Amino acid sequence: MWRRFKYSGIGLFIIIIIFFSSCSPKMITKKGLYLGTFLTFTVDSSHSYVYNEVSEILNKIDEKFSRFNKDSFVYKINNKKGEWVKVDEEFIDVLKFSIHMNEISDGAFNPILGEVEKEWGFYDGNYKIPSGEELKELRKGTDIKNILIDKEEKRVKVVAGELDFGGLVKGYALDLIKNLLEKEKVKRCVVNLGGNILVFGDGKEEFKIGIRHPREAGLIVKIKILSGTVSTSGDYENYFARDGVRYHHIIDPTTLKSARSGVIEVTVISDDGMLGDALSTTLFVLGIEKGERFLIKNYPQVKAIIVDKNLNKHFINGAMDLIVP
Amino acid sequence: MPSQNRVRKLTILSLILASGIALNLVEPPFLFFLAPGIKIGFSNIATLFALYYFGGIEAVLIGALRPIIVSLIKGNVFTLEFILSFSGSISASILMLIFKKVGGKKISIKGVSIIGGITHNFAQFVMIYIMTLNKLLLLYLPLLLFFGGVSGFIIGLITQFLINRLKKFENEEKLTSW
Amino acid sequence: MKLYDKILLIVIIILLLTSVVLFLNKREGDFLFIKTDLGIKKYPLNQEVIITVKGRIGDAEIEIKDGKARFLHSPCKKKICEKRGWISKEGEYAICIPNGVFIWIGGDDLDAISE
Repeated sequence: MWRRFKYSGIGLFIIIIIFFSSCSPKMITKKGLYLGTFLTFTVDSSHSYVYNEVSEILNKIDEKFSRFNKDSFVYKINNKKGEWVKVDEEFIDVLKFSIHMNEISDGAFNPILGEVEKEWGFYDGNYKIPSGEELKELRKGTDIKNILIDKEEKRVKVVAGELDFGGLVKGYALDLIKNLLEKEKVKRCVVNLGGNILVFGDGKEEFKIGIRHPREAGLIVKIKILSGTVSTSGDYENYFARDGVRYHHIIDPTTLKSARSGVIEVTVISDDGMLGDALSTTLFVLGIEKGERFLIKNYPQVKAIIVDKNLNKHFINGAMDLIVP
Repeated sequence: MPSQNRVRKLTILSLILASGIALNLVEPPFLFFLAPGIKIGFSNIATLFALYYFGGIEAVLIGALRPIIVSLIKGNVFTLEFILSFSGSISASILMLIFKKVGGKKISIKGVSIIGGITHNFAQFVMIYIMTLNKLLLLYLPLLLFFGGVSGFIIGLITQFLINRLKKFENEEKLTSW
Repeated sequence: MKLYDKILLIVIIILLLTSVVLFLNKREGDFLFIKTDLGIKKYPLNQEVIITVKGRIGDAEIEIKDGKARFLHSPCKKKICEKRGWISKEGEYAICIPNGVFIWIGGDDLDAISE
């Protein structure tokens, strides 16, 4: 009788083992530092090899678009003002997109604010409040017409000011990664590049994504999507405070100071990563009313959630449907 | 004669209880930084000893009284700490008694003590689970029970050693076989 | 070595193996849960913050950093909770019994947090 007890014990153990191995996640996660930020890459284990190519993609983007990498196009363009710099087609495409965004947003999105961001100290952390005079000096450099493109020779020149693609480069990276995931027929993947998210799946199971609360530790809202990118811009990402006033890194191109549009966080949900990334900055600068009108008119397929300074949430283009209670 | 036996029994029980209390007070509340609640549990030597010296409900008495008195001394009656140690101690003592009776010759003091150790940690786990209802804690259960079993085994060895030594000084039929 | 003893030893070995299997399957957690008498609060692990909670005997400070959490400071006497050190995997916990503060790591089926 007790032999039966022993056997049933062993049988129970086997059942436990089977149960737990079927529950075990078949997703693996890799982490790394790219584009000056933290990458978390979670993919189904049969496609884990994809990570190597993701790594290469991100390094190549850094080589072209980094402000700080001395061999990058951006660095050369910024430091050889008035001179033509040889680039490539990819670079020109991204540059043209940023100029296009600048035009349809009436200047709210501006890829040539590098000098202004530098002056405020948002690059090196030596924060200061520039004087009115200093800002006036810098204004000439923020004109989009300073950027000249030679499509045939594939060259770019900037006569004044400095390029900064921070507002869309992570989104662009996500687009390239998405193409790779499609090519490799990846089953399920979550890419988190410094807070910019790409989710990619076979369309069967949704992804739950939390949006960080702009003022407290925790989340302000959770959303559920089948696939796409999620980009958030907030006044808490890079800022300093002086005399009780918060100076954050999202510069309003009209004032050349931190955007005071009554908005503290914008989240954009879009299938196009670069667009979503650019839009999160754009909507932040535009504010709630102008932003809503702008998005409804120009990108009705893109959804957004804007949090104003009273912590009220505004849902645009049906973003409310994505909420997880 | 009977009253002499009663006095003797009471004296020995008190000594056992006192040792149990002392062991509890001296022992650190956790072993390594594995998880709270994982410790050798030296005070169970007292409970186990009572079980094998008297062979009956006396062990449960020790198992119940020891945590009560310890918490009176420490000053944390009716706190979580008390509930945890009381539930562990009393359920361990009850189950050890049951298994000793049911097992008879087929189980040794080590085996009974293993049961005690596992039960002790299981009861404590149940208490924590009731309070948090956090299913993730279940991941910890096998490990807790494993350490309960191991520490029970160790306690069993120690208690057996103690009883063997004591046997050399006593020739009493009172000692039940193990 | 009696019969039941052997059975129990087998049981112990089974428990050990089960724990090993579970341990190998543990995932890195996403959230820190803090439970006090006042309720349960949830915090993402991907931030650097020190959270102050009110316990039964005093305020406890809990630190979150590098995806891990720990009791930084607790008003209890023995500081067992502080000695627990960092917790980061799902299911791991630390508890301050005298103060009634219980922290643990959970993965809230969230795939990511946008920020």
